[in-house]
Amino acid sequence: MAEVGMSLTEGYLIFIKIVVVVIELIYIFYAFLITRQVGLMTKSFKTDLGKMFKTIAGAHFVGSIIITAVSVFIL
Amino acid sequence: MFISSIIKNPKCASYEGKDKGEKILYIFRRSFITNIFWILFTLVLLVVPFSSSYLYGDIETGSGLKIIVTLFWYLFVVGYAFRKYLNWYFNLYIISTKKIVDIDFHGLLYKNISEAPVDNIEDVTSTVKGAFGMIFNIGDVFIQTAAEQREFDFHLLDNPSKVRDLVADLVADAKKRHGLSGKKDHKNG
Repeated sequence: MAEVGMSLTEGYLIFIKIVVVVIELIYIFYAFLITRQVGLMTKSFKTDLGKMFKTIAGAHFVGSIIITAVSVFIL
Repeated sequence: MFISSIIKNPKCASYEGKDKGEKILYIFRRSFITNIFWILFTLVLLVVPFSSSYLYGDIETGSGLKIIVTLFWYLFVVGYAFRKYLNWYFNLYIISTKKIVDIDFHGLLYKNISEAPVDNIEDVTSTVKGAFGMIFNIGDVFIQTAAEQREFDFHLLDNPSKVRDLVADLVADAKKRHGLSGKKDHKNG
């Protein structure tokens, strides 16, 4: 009975880990869309802050890739 | 610059389609106070991992999953706040020596840019409504152009009466310069 409980908890954890990685993969696409949108925005309205916005969007996109990659290796 | 909702004579600003010799006179954005809701929501999201018993359930402290979820959570919060800020920053109304331009971005997938010559502006109206508007002096400015059913709506601006007056004065000056009748419409005081 205890073994069944243990395997259920393990199964649940594996399921959670898969869900986390899938959400992170979807988030990479979202972060990519943000970088594209920042490109469009800074093209439509050029300002001093454009470079900074592009850098933040790029860092956010790279961050999402790194976290997903680390998740795949650690989890 | 980061939180300005009215910018006069911006030095380092330009927009797609700006003509040669055209000068931007004013840039208007929604009042910064309208961002208060998502800023407060972001602050709430930032402290969620501290109440970790709700987020992590029975997952043990220091486990890889917990660290990854926390890191991802903060990345998500940064992304959320960044997108909200961009949405505010790049939704603007530009008044130049030649044109009036309305740049709209909604969500990630919608972009709309409208423009009309300043000479075509016929009527400028400002409205302040609701408790929020009355307290912070925030309202809308509607600009009717000569084109059929073309109206520019500037929403949730700081001091809409002042903006209406500025736009009406610019239109009157532009029409005077071009020898047209300088109609200056003042509604709502």
